[in-house]
Amino acid sequence: MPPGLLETLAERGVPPVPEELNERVHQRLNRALVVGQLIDLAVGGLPFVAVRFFRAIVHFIESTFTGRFESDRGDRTREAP
Amino acid sequence: MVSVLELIEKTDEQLAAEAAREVSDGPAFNALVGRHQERVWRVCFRIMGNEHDASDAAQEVFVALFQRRAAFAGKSKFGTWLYAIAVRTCLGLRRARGRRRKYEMESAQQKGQEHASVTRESAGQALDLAQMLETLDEEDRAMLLLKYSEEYNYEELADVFHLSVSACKMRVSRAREELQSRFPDHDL
Repeated sequence: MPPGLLETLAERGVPPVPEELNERVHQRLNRALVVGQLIDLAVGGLPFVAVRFFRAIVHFIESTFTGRFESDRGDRTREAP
Repeated sequence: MVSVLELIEKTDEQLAAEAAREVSDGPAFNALVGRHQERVWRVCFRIMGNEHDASDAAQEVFVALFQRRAAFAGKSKFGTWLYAIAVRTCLGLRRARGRRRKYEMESAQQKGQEHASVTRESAGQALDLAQMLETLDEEDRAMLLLKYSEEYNYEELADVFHLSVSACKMRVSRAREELQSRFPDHDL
């Protein structure tokens, strides 16, 4: 019995791996890494910086009006000189 | 510093564990890409059907490998796990290009009808098998391609498609029957 058409599929050749494939993979990977790091920065880094900055301003205003400020290094509440 | 010899001696699974610890595309990851590039390319070419799309798909596969490298649990062989990613990536890309495929499918069916009255030999030459396969469901098509082009056995297909061996046999058989019923003038 002659082979069916599907059995002839294996005879169809596959071209060799493109030479530039490896380079393109790394280019794409680099882009993916940069995007990932930017997302990390946007999601984690920037809010952290914003919160720290906002807290500093709040403390500044607070110490301006009350004359007292809290130290980050401990739980001591200091009197402004 | 890891020497090339050390990398060559390691199994895929050992390299995958090392790649998972690498912060970026380090030596272990690159060794895995080098080892599996050829076979991933073959799978991509078979499913995508042309060099341009296959190249695009192969790049996507290795980026996906990098992003999921920590997810490899070692339950199956690394190669099988990677080829499953390759198949899913290719199917995803083909679905994303659904409009084009739909057009190709319609033209293949039209050609099938036009050739219905032609003799088996001449019709076999005129109507490309690839176009016939386009009329199938994406997964069935991929399964037939891997089974007959790349000569995967049912166990390998089961691992790649996350199905049981019997389910794979049934799907291949049904897909073949479906194809035969759509193109009765061809000996499939």
